[in-house]
Order: sequence, then C-alpha cells, then structure tokens
Amino acid sequence: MSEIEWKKVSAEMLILSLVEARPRHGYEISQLIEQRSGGAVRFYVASLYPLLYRLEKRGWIQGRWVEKEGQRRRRYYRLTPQGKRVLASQRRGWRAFVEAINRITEAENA
Amino acid sequence: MPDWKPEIARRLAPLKLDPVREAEITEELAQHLEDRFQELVSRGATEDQAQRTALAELSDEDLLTKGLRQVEQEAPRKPIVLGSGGHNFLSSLWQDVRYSFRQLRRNPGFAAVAILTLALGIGANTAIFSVVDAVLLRPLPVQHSQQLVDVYNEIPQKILFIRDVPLSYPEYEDLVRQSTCFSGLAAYYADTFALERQSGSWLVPGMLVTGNYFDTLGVGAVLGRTFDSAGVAKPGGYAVAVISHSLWERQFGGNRNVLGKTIELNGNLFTVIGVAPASFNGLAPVAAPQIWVPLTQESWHVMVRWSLENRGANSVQVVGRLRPGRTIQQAQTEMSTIASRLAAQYPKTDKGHTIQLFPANQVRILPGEVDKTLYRASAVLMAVVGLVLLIACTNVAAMSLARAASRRKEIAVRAALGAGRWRLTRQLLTESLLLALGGGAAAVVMTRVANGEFVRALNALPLPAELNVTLGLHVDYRVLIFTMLAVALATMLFGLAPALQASRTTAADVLKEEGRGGSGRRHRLLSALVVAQVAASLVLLVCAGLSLRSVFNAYRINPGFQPRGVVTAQFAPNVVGYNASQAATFYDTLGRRVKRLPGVTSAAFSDNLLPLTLRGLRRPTNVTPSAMAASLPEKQWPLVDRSQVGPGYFRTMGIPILRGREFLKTDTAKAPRVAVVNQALARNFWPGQDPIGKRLDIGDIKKEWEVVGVVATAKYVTLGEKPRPLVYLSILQTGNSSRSIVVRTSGATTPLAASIRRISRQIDPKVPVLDVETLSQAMAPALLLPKLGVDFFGLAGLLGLVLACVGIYGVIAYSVSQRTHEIGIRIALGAQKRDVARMILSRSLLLTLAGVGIGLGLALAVTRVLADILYGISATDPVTFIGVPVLLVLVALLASYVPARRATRVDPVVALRNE
Repeated sequence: MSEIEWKKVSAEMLILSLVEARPRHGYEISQLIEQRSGGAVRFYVASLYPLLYRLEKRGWIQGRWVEKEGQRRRRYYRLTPQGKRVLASQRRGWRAFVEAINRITEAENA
Repeated sequence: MPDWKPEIARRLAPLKLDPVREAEITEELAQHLEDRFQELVSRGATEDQAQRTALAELSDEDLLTKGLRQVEQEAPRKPIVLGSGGHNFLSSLWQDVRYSFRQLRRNPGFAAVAILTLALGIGANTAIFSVVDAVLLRPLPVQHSQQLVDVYNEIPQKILFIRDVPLSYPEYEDLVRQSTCFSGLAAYYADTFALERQSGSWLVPGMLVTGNYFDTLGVGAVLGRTFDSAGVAKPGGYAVAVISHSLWERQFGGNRNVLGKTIELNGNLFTVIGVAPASFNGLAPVAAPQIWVPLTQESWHVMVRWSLENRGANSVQVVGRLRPGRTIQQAQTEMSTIASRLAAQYPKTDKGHTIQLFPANQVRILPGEVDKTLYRASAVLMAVVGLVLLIACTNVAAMSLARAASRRKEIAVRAALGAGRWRLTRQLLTESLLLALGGGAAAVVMTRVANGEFVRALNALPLPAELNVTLGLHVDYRVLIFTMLAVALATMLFGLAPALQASRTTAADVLKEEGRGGSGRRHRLLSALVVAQVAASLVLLVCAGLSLRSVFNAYRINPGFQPRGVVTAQFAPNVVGYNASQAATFYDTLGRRVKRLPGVTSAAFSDNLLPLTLRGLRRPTNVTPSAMAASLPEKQWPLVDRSQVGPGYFRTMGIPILRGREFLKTDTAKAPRVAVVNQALARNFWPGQDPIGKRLDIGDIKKEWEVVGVVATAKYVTLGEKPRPLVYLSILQTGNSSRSIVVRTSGATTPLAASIRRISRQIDPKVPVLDVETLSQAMAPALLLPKLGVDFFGLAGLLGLVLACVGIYGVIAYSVSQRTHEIGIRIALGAQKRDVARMILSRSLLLTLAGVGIGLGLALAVTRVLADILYGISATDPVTFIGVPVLLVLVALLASYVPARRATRVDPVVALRNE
C-alpha cells in the first residue's frame, strides 16, 4: 500500500485525536503531526485544510475564531460530541484491523 | 513580510466560492503560511527561501484546489475510504473494475462457471428475442417506413376470425383517383409461381405488383432497374420481372449478365430487368417473395385477371406512402369518406365496408387477431426463457454467496480500513457486472450460432413451397440493447443480494465468527435461492413434459384416415390457361394412367384441401338442411367445412364409409347433385334420424344436394380438434380446375412419386406439378407447431434441469464444507456415517420439496396458456404433474449425494484441528 493511501486512511483519525484533548488551530495540528511522527508524516497547508473543512462539514469538529492579545485572530478546532463517537469507533476498527493483520501475518510466519 | 493573500486568492479564484467564505479561508490560510514562514526564518532560512518553501507547500500538486472543490462545492458526506480514490467517481469506478478483474482472475473456476451459466441464461433470451425482433419489432426494410400505411377493407362480418381483408382492384383504382393524402399508393398480389428450371418446375413465392410498387416503397434495384409505371402500362410491356437477391444468387450464380435473360413462370416468358436489394423482403418477413412481375389488366394470370375486374374479390394488398406533413388520422378521415361514397355507389359489394389504415410497421401478417396471436406467442416464449435466466441468476447468486463466505476476511479488512457499506456493495456489484458482461458477450456469440441453426432448420422443413425463409435474423442494435438490459437485470438479480449481505459484515463479526458455521442470514438466503431455483425448474419441466406427452399423443391419435402408403401431388392446369373441360380431360387421362402403375391399389382426386395439411384455404360455408332453409336467413346457417372429392377418394384415404355410398363416376354435372356428409354433420343436422336421402342447401351454391352417404369423422385442421362437421361434394359436379391426386400403393412411395410427375409431364409438360410427396410428409407442417413446442420447451426444461442440478449441488456442497466442524464433532461423539449422510440428504430434500410445492402452484397457473396446443391431455395432466416432481427430487438427491458422501468421510481429528 502506498504511503499516500495510508495517510488518507489515518489522517482523519489523527486529526480527531489531536483535537480531542483541547482545541487547536491548523498550524498547530500540522506541527504536532510532524513532531510526533518524527517527521515521517507531514501535512502541508494544501492537504490539511481541505481535510479540516471536510471534518467540520461532517460535524465531527467545529472551528471558531479566537482573538488573543497582540496576535491576529486564529481559527481553533474542537472535537464535537459526534466527532467523539466517530473517533471511538475508528479506534475500535483500527485495533480490530491491526489484530486481524497480526493474526494473518503471524499465521503466515508460523 | 510577504503578502500571502493575493497568492491564495489566485488559487481560490477558479472555485468561485461565496465571497464571505473565501475571505475566511484566505485569512486562515494566510495565517498558516505566515506561521510557517516565521518558523522557517527562525530556523535560519533567508526570507526569500522561506517564502518559496511556504508557497510550494501551498501549491503542492494542486491538492488545495482539488480538495477544496470537493469539500466546499460538492459537500460530499462520504468518508475517506481506502482505495476509493476519493476524489473522482469515474476513477474510483475504474479502480473497482480493475480490482474485480483481479479477483475474478484469482478464481478462474468460479468465473468460468458463472459466465457459462449466465451465457446460457442470457443467450436463451437473446436468441429468442432476436427472432421476436425479426418477426415483430424491426421496421420494414424500406425508406422512411414510418410514412407507409397498409390499407385494408374492414368487413362487417368476420370470416373465421378475420375482419380486415385486402381490397379489390377496382376499389384500389378508386382510391388512387380520389385520395389526396398519399404521394403513392401501390397494390400487390402475393402468389406462388411455378418457376421452370432444368430440373422441373418449382413453386416460388412471388408478387404481382403495380408499376409504382418499388417507387412507392422507395426501393431501388441493386442491378438493372425496377418497374416504371409508364413502361409497364405499354402493351406487351408487362412481360418483365424483378428477381430477389437470393434467387439471383441461387439461380443465376450472382452473375451480372442476368439482365435480359428470360425466365419461365407458369408457362409464360418474362425478361429479367432488375435485382432487388438483399435486405428487401417485400413487406413479408417470413416468406419473402423471390420474383416480382407487373400486375396489369391484360394479365396472363387467370386468377388475377378475374380478380382485377371483380369488385367483390378482396385480393390485392394496398400500401400507401403519406405525403409529407399528412398524418395517418387525416388519411383515415379521407378514406372513411371515400368508403361511404363507394358503399353508396356499389351497395352490392361495398355495403358496410369501411377502409381501415394501419401503420405498415405495425402489421406483421394481418392486423387484428392474427397479429395478436403472434404477439401472445412471443410473450409466452419470452416468459419461458426469462425463467431460464432467473434460474441461471439464482445459480450464480448462490455461488457468489458461498464465495462471499471465503472472502469475509478480505471484506472485513476493507471495512475496518473505513470502506463504507455502499462502497463495498459497489465493489461486489462491479464484480457481478463483469461476470454478466462476460455472459452477455458469450450470449451474443451463441445467438449468432443459434440464429444460423434456426434458419437452417426452418429451411429444412417440408413446407408447401420453396419458401427460402429469410427472417433476416441478425444481431442488430435492438438485440444488443436487449442483451445489455438482460445483463443489467441479471447483475441486479444475482449480484445485489450477496453484495448487500457481504457488505453487512464488520470486522467484529469476522473475529467473532472466526470461520465457524457461517451466519444464519446467509444460510437462509442460500436456502431461499435453492427453493426458487427448484420452483422455476419445475415450471419449465412441467411445460416440457406436457409438450412431450402431447406430441406422443399426437402420433397416437387416430386421424380418421390412413396416411401411410399414400402419395399426393397437386396440379394447376388453370395457371397455364386450361379451361374447365380441358382440365377435366387432363385429370381423366392422368387418373387412368396412374391407376395402371405397378403397386397402386387405388387413386382418386380431390380439391387441394387434404386433411391435416396446410394446403389450400379453408373457407367454411353456410350449410343447412333444405327443410330449414326457408326459416333462417342464409347468414345464420351453421358454418361448415366443405371438400370436393372424386370417386374412390374415401377408399384411397382409408376413411370408413358408415352408411350409403361414396361418389361414383356417374355423379357428374349432368346427374342429380349429391353429397356425402361426415358423422359429426349427420348428428348435428339430423340427430337420431337416417341422413340418407335428406337434402342440404349450401350457402354460395344454394341448391338442394341429396345426401347419399355418411363417412367417419376425421381430423381436418389439427389433431386436437373437436369433431368438425364437414360436407363432401362430388368434384365431378363442382368441376375444380386445380386438383390434388391421392394414390395408395402397396409398394414403395418414392418411385411412385417420380412416376406421377413423369406421367403428368408426358401429358403436358407445361402443367405445374406441385408438392409431390407422401401424405405423411404433407402433414408434417400441421404438426410443426406442437413439434416446435416440444423442441423449445424440451430444450428450456433441460437447461433448467441442468442449471438447477448445478445449483443444488453447489449449495449443498457449500453447506457441507461450512459444517465440517460440526460434522467432525458429531462423528467424534459417535454419529454413524449413515446418520451424517441422512442429515445432509434430508436438508437437501427439504429444500427441494419446498421448491416443488411452490413450483407446482406456479406450473398450474402457467400451463393453462398451453392448453390450446396440447393434444389429448389436459393442461393438468397427472402423469406430468407427478412424474416431473419425482424426477426433480431424484435429481436433487443425486446432486447432494456427492457432498453427502464427502461429509461421511470427515475425519473428526482433522475437522477439529482445522480451527
């Protein structure tokens, strides 16, 4: 499977997880992904925002303009209750998948 | 600090977003780029480098524009799915196709069986449809056929079941003079001609046509020219002929020097002036004419000459081409006016007649009942092959279901990766579609082969004239569209249920089940499919069984005469100009010489209406006992068949004389008029009385005929008919000029046939000798319909049976493989082989019986439409209705025997370890 395909599948889950604990803005999200993956996964502006808008449109996350002292306003995204449910189910599916893959690959090795 | 907004705005421009939304996005992206820029600079990049990097990330492969277009404009609610491409419907479809292709290639056995099964199902439909298409649906092969209308005379009282009859030639001439709606009105008279060849004279279908026939139809010659009105009208200008493309090829080897050659028709010479296009069938798709000659007043054709002058002779077919801008309704209004004018002018012949127009494309044989029967028959044929397709589809559906089980892991993985239900369903449907397309392609090939065989079989039939059946069967676009529809339907039928079923699978299900047992839902669906399949096969097999029994019966039914050992031939001295007394002399000589041939035990003449043959046109006449003639108007006298026969006829045919005498040599025109009636008529007219000496009045002859004999009732039109009243008259008194001879021999029939032909040629080589054959051969066409019925239903039934067997086998085998674990446990716990086999077989028996039950109900409803063509058995024939289910159950048990045996061999250790 190509790197691009992996990214697509997991990207949704990554973003949802990153805004789970607290609201974050787009640049922050992209930085976190890059940092936490040790640079293996990167989302640049061109691919990140369409994804954010899509998740927002589905009602899984919600963006809000926030102004802070001395800064220009930024848009912060937070996880909605619906997003929470989706994330939970995606995590379950992911685990099942990993488990399944493991079984298959272990069987092959046995 | 760079200004990002113009860069972003430039990229968003093509999306034409709502300005507020665009400003918002621009601001957010600008902020992001600014952050990125600052970060890069802080890491030591120059401002220039940082700006370039940030902009490059913004432009990355047009991702931004593409992605935003999806989200902002189409607002798709689809989740991102692995392998969906996600952006473009077509590209993801293509991906589905490639994936399906790989899947099928990985299982070539499954793919081959599925495609073959579907090919049989779709092929049966396409083949039958191509015949229906050729006979019923295809527009006439002429220019702008939608402008053509057929003109018919609608008569107040039906003859048999026909109301719309041809016009008479004088009426046609009136229409030409009085109508304004047509740019051309042509008349034609279909007939068979005796065409002289070295090998003797042959009957070929032909047409006498008006000079404007080809021009009106817009058909030109492919070689030479067609008729022109002026040339034909010249004295002596009519001895020209246009021949069909196929006659040109067969008779003249396709040689271009055919123009100017002469051909001899009914003893007259005609010069060939042109060859018609191969596609032109003279508006008669089944029996296309081979020769066209002009229809003119000074005709050489006796029958035609008579009917040209006779206003009461409804003999010419008329076809008109509407002027541009005129509608058929306008033309109809005009015709009605003309018809009422004619009715007033010629009350004797035209009273009560109306003129009825039909779009020529819609008339196939005759408007009304005849065409309706054709449509009904087509509907039955299509329904039966539809059933075959249904069986094929349930088969493939069952296989797909079984296969879906082994693909649960694959599907679960895809589901876990986020593939939605719709997406999985679509993937599986794509596979089904590929299979169906493969089946459709094979079906088209099969149809072409079947069409060739069908035409060959039709041409091999013993038909009364050399018809050269030119159905023009070919795979045209209508057939292809039909095939595509069948493919689509098949995909839905066999693909949807398994796909929906499979796509319901989730990763959790798979992990829970872990290959054990399979889901109950799937089993229920599989069982339903087997039941449906058995039911459909049962319907087909019952139809097949009924047809088969009916034909066996038909051969056993006593036709009331003895066809074996009888040779017959038909003579037409009238077409070469003999008058009645010349014809009588001809027959007299012929009869005397034939009787002297070795082996001949008797010989006699009759009109051409030999029983159970398709010769001659049966036209029942109004007949009544003379005693009742005055009290009833003639039109209300019973309609009775009439036949003219000579001395020795009953003896030759083997029809028993029950009372009185047969016709004698002395029953001539000068002697008192006599009649012989069959028992059915005697019982109807004079129940409980002695008919001998009673008198009959006959509608169009209207004189008293004395009954001198009663003969046994035979079968005249179909073997299945109820006793038909019939009156025989002496042919020596009625003096028919075209007669058939019947000759009974104790020896071989083939040399006798040759001798009859030889004797006729010796007397006068010009007299056409037609249809020299045994009576049994002459009867074959009348038995054709039930025979075709048997062939058709037999084939369809066999196909259904084979498919059902494969289906039952497949499903039982699958369920055994699913239950290996369970069976292992049973065996380990002490179950005997017998118990295991019984368990498997009883399940299959249960399914089969359920199918049989449903099928019997359906069959009872369906076979009612067959009742008309069945001989000597009812549509609910108990032998068929018991025999077929028993056969089906046996076959089903046989099909499940193999898997059952395999089940008994299950090794418990292996089965349990298999986990």
